[in-house]
Amino acid sequence: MAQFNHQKKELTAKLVYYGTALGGKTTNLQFIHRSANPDRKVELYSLNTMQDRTLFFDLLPLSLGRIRGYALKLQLYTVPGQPQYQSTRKVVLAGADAVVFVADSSRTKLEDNVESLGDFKENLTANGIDLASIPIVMQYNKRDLPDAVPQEVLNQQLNPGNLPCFLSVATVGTGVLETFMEASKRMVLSVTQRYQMGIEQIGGKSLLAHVDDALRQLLNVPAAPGRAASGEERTPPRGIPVLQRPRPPDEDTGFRYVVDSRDLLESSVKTSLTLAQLYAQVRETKNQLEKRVKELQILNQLSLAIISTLDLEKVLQLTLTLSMELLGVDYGSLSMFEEEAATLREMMLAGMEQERLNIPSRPGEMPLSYALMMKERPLLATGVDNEDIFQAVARKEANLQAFIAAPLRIKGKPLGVMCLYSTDPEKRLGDSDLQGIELLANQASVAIENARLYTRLESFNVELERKVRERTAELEAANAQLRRLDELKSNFLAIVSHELRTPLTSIRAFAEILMDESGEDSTSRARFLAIIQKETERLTRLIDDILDLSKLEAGKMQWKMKPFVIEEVIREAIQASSPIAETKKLRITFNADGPIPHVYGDWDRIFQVVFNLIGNAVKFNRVGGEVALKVEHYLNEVTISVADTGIGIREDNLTRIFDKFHQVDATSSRERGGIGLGLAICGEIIRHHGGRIWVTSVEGQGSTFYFTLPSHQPSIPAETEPVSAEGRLA
Amino acid sequence: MFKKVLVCDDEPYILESVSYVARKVGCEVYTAEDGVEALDVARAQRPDLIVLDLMMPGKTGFQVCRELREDPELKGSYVIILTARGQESDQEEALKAGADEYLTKPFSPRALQQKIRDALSRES
Repeated sequence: MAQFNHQKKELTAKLVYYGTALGGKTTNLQFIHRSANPDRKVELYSLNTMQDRTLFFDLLPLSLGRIRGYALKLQLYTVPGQPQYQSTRKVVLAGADAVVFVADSSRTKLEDNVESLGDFKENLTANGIDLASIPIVMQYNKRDLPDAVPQEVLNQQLNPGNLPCFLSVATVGTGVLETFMEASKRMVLSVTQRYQMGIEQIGGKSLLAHVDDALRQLLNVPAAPGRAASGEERTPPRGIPVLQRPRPPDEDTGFRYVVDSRDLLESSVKTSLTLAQLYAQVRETKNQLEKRVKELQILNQLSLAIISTLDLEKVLQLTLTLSMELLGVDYGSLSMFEEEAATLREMMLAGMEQERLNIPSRPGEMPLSYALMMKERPLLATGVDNEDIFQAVARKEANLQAFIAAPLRIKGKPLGVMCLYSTDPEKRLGDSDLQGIELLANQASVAIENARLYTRLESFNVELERKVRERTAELEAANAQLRRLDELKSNFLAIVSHELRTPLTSIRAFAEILMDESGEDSTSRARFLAIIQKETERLTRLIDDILDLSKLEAGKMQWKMKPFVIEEVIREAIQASSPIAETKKLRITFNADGPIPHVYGDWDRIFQVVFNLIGNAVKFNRVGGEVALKVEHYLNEVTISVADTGIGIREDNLTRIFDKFHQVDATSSRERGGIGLGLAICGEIIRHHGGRIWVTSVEGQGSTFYFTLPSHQPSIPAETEPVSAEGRLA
Repeated sequence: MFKKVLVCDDEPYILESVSYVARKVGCEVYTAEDGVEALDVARAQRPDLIVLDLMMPGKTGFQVCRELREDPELKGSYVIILTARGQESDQEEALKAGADEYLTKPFSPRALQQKIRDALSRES
């Protein structure tokens, strides 16, 4: 009866070779043992009596790998053929899942074969096994004997039910593997049906085909072209063995348990069986432990290497290199998950130029590597295990034999995935590899997370330092700016104080003179009084200017914005300036270039600007000179210019001239009579209107001041008054 | 003989008021409207007393004062600084430059008259 372990997902099926003494059963097992892949077999255990050739039974455990997550294991037994070991045969046959009946083709053994078959049926019944339900495969061995009975005769005697039947020469291997494969397939099918495991059909491929593949892998048998249907008789050509392996002389098959009694009690056979099974387990455990020691060594190496570095790149490289070393595979990749971009980016590649699993099969879809990363545990895909994934990977990687994908996760959060590929047909990957990679991947995940945290910490530090530097620089700049402003304010106050004191000085001086010198003539008295009045006006103007400027700068000026005709403002400013112009015998002209649209602004403030510019043009002009005003219109702008024929402005002062108190800013370069607030006020007013103000000058020839105002853009042109021509002055 | 006084200021009314005060004392008054002119007139007339503004175009009062002190013929003249700059640092600089007296604007003609009288009597 098959042993079915749900927890380990393991299914162990028992195949018994039955037949006459010295019929070739052990020879069958020995040949299978030699043929089996070293990864999947343990050893052949033989339980012998002291007499050399008398076998009690043999046990050969084999592993078929995983099919849909179930590990399939086969246990092959032989029974002792001698009639006196009837009780042993019964014990061995107990729990059998399938039977190969090995018949001796020698004419002299015909009777023995029939007797053995009868004994077999008896023992089946004694073990409660229904003859009809258990798969049985016939093998007619020793076909190379000269007295071999024809197959038809044997069929008649031994196989009236037409069971599948193979002809063999077990000593050279002919027909051995075919028999074994057929029996195994039937056994697996029967067991899975009995347990209703629901794995009869896997990925469009029948279970039988899977088992066939697994068996071929186990035995290194190439796929047969045009495989015959099961149940059919197969006759290998005589003398030409189909499958043959050299047999080393007198091969030591391993365990040999010698029993000195010829008549064993049933219990001792059972004990022997248990012993043999235990021994098999011990050997398997030993092999696993050896492999485990190697894994632990590599893991230890990885841990040490990883602890010693916080360099992410180094950690990734070590992880991939050591994983490949652990598995002995030829190429692999390590990709990290980039959460923001929702992509997997290959960080390390070994033996390959690109990890194609990172490329989505359709745009917008997640790539296969993502699905592999999201798995809880590493996954092994071979032609047998996880066949669907294997096929998906094999489509992209030709020559693929096996593939392991190890997700890298920390506290359930996916970090990335490591893919390992084996293209070596000799190198098979199994469960123990998967366990090793899992341990390694867990270690690596911790190391990667540490390195990442460290890197992030470092970049935080760098960022923090940068921010501190930046802030310090900002503070320093702000401090410097404050110091400059403070200096400007002190300077401004000193200048204001000086400028206020100047008219005040004259006022006070002449007031005191008038008080003390009452005997002064009336002409002088009148002159002194006139000076006092002029200087009082100057003082008042200065105070007004200071107030205006501080209002402008503080944004507290009240603006009365409306569309108006600029020519009117200019005419009135010229009118108001004519008394001072006359004192210098100056001519003021005004010219408008074409029709000028309305401008939008504060009439009084624009008047103030024009009046101030004319005032400067008069003040700095020569006697008998000229002041020329002009208005032009271009695109959405109206430009007003005031040109004089005065002393001009030095080039280095052309921009500074609009600064407050520019003229007295440097004591050595103070210009005649200026108080230096007028242009600063003009600048503030024009800037508020969205215009520009500037000056051009040739020293000694004169200066021209310009300012612009945006022309008024009525939303509905039809409703606005057309610009009247009378607004212009020739 | 009348003593020679040079008055130097870029503000015409101040120039006028100081000149008036000096004439009242009985001096022969010369005027200049900037620093360069002040030195020219000083070198030409060798005044006994100079009333000097600090903030002037051309050359500042400080510069004029220093140059006067370097001139062997003028270094003995009495220099009164009359300025709107009332800060202590200005006063220190003026005295360092060689000024004898430091008055700030607005000034009292009466007080200035007394200063000129005192200075000229000490000279003689």
